[in-house]
Amino acid sequence: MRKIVDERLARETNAMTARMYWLMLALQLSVLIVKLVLGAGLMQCILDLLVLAVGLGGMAILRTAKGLWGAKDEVLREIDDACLTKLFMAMFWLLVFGEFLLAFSDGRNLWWYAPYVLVWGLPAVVITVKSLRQGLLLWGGRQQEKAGKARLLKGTVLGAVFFGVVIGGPSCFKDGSFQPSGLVQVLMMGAVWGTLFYVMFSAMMKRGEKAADQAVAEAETRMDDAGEDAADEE
Amino acid sequence: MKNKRMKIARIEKDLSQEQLAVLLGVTRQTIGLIESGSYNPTLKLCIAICKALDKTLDELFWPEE
Repeated sequence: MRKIVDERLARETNAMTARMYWLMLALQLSVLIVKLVLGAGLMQCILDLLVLAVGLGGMAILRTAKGLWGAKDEVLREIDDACLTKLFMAMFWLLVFGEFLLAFSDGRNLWWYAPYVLVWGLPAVVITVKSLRQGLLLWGGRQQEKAGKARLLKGTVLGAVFFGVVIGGPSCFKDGSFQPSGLVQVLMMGAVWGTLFYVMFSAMMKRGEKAADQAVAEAETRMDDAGEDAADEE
Repeated sequence: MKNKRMKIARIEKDLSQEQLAVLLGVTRQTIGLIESGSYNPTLKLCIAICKALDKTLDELFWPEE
């Protein structure tokens, strides 16, 4: 079954993510200023500058190309939200992979790269919590749930392998020789991460589904009450 | 305002909210919100609903006099 592309969910998620784009920009700018005050060199700020260039430059290009500056019209604002969402995602992945690469290639300067967790982590947490409360994180039906869980399982296995190899991988080699006991560590780490991720994500989707069903029930009750009021007035 | 005509058309077609949602590639909750009148679908989704239920836009979405 194909993945659902629900326009209502996309619209509401884009509106929320567009706001988080500004939060991410503000956090990134603050982190850069603090780093410069503390005497960071260009190499320690390269990712900050790249992320800001992508975020601000991308916004300038997209808004100019699509005529979105000062958009007040509902449709233009939706297009603007979609553009900012794409930029948010670009900045997010740039930060996650950039931080990962910097941490592994320049481990001595880890403290300069640690604040990136705040820059990508805080907006991500806000989006997740709000999505759960507003019922935007959901399967959308029993059939979709089955297909979605299969996709989740596939993604979890890939993530677990990646996590196990990256974190436990170095223990497979000691003094230049392969250590079979390290492989057990890789498998254990992957299994623990995978199980935790799958259980947590499934629980979140269940909660989101419940919130969405509650929103539909409340909307129906509200409309029933409004209908009764209109009938009384007549 | 509730969209009772869409709900009736769906039931006439013997479709549950979930079955219609699968046909349209949206969530069950979105169908629920359209029927309860809490969500205004785009023209694209309105046309897809009409095609799935064999109705015209007027029959399902034009306000009743």
